Amino acid sequence: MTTDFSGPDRVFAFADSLGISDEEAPVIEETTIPWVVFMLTGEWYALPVDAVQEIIRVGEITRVPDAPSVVRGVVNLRGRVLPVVDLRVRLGLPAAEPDKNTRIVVLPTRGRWIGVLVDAVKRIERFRPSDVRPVPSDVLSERSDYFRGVVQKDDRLVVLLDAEHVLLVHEGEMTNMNQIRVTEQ
Amino acid sequence: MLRKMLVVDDSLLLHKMYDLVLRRYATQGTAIVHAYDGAEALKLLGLHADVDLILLDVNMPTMDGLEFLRLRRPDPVLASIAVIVVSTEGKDHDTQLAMSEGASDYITKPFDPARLHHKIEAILRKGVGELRAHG
Amino acid sequence: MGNNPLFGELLDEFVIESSRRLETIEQALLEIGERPSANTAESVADLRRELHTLKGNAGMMGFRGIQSRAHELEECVVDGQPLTAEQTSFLLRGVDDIRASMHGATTADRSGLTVPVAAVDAIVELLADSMILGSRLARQIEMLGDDAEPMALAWEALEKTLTAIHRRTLALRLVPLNPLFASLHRIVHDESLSEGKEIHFIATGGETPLDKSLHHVAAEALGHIVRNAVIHGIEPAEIRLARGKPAAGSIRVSAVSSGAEEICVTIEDDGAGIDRHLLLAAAERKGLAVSDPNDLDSLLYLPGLSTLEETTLSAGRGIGLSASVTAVRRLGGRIEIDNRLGEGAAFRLFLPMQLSMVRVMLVEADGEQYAVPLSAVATVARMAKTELHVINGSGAIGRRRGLLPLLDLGMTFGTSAAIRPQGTVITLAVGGKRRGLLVDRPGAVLDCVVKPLDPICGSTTGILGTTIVSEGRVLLALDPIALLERPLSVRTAA
Repeated sequence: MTTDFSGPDRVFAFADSLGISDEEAPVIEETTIPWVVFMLTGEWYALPVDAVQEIIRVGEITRVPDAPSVVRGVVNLRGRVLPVVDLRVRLGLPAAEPDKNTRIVVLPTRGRWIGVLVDAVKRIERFRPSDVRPVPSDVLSERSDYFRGVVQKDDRLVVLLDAEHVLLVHEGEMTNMNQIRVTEQ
Repeated sequence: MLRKMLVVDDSLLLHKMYDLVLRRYATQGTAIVHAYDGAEALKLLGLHADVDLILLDVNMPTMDGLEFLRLRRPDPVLASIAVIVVSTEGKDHDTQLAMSEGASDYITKPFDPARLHHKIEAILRKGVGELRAHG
Repeated sequence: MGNNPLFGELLDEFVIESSRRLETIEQALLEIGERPSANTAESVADLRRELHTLKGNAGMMGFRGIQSRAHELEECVVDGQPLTAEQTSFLLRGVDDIRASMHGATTADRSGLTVPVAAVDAIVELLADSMILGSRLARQIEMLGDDAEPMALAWEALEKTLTAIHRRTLALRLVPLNPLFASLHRIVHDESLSEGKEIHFIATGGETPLDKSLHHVAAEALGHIVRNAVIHGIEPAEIRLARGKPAAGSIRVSAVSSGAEEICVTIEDDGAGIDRHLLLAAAERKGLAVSDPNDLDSLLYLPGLSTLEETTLSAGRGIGLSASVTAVRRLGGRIEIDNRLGEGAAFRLFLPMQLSMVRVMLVEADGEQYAVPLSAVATVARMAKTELHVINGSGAIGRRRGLLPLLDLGMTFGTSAAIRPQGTVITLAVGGKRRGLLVDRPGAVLDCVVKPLDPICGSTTGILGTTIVSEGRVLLALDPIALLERPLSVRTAA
């Protein structure tokens, strides 16, 4: 039996359930790639569907003391302990408390799964490689390898992220969670 | 003098039991050579020509006890080794056949281990010389 | 004849050999039932011989009941004639009966005997303790600096040996999955017969080992999954043919060890796949509340949804699917599903290869729960306001032996800025060191599996890893030694 069971099924099923799969039925001349489009601080971002295992709701995140500030904590995913990376913090945006729209996008990487926290998941969009433009300088932070480019979708700019690079934790981020916590009080 | 006994049986349990019988009851040291079917037994006899007694299960896969007895007949050395055939309740026909194929004695399962020991000692004490006379 | 005087020494061997023989007989019967080409005079003769030997052995051990049942089965088989379906069923039932009697007969006779698994467990626990004490020793040696080089080397050598002993001892409990696969084969055979479906069963990787104590949990979960595959997964022949599939369905079971830590058992079928909508409809009909309609797992594992919990076929076979999944998770395992509607489904059961459960006590501080290894806990006592002494910013409590230094758990992990004035003191004691861990309240004591944190979380001193308790959130498991050696809280700037 050579059937291939892959993650995107889950993602598409999720999109179906939201009733928000791509409504337009374009005549595709050029191969388009599907992306999961989500929001962070009101801006639109995307990750490639084939890099995504699934999208889950946020349950209870267990904080890990002394973890890098970019790691929000861990959650229980069907018996698996899933580390959750705060994508806002990773991209240099201010952190926020999860609400009912917040989701965790699960990315398989280097033999295990890591989740990234996003404000809301919007839809699955298909983009043509020719639509992808370089990232404008005002979006760019010091770490350009997080980004694959941008796509203009209607009147919005969608920033395409690189799944592998976005999950690499850098030395500078190993700050002391304790101090942050206490000063917030 | 160390005596040598070849055990031919496909059941590991029986092998363990024969081993225990000797350790528990035997007054003299006895080495056991283990074979799990008739074919293996013939092969091992080629290596251990000085076997004093063969304990042979009638019912085995690959080559059963009767087959083994028939195949060893042409060889005068092998044919002269004493054999105690181990058979089961209700298999009298097989036991009779085995005796006519050259077995020296028989015992029927389930048996009292002490009784088996008795039979083994009776044969081993008699010595090889007298038994070889039977051919 | 009376009882065999060598009975005691032969019992283990009898049980092992007879179990194997019953498996062989069962496999042969399943083979004969599934492939007409296997139903030859030769294989029937082999079968008869196996039954004959089984009978003889039972007789030697004095097990008259088993002996006569085996005799009945042997008589049912006529040499030189292929088996009919009735004979095969009769013989399979006989195998079940003998297995049941064997279990009854042998456990009764085992009173007073130490079960080897417990003996192994005791040794493993001692080894775990020695490793804890050993790392204490290692830290002391480290503090002595370069002068202690010969000591450090000696310790390293000792540590290697201890680790090797630990590994080998745990390995004693590893048992191949083969018998488990055999029982799955049997389930597929029985269920497909009653469903009137023809299903091929293929198993690979049966030599993969799994800790003996995990076999039961794995067997239960896999049994449910495989039953579901036969009953709900594989479609009736007409539907399969209409879909362009072969009339006979196939269920494939395979096991691999991934790394040295985990095994993965996959059950794959080429049936209809899992239809979420059907499950949802079934749940609605039964009036069951579904937490997340899009989450396949929450649907599948809904207690009461699976018809198998009601079926009398598996009556007495224990818990339903949802409960066995919970059991799997409690042991540090998980189940993943790959689903292809119309084409089939694959269930993957992951389990740690070896069971390493730690007995812990849950404690609560500032709304967070933590797991403390019980082996390090000496006492648990409530602390009143008046008992707390604060000296130079550090807390201490008076005890008969003197002042016991306190470590406020909340302050340690950044959930509070000051020592709590009242709560519960968990006295940690390892080697000669003692310290009180100040928490809000103690919780339950239970066994859990602690897994190390993913490297992305960095390395937190004071944390051994994480554990999942029942269905809930992830808890942090504390490292008692690190907590005993951590510098006590220093007064923070106001």
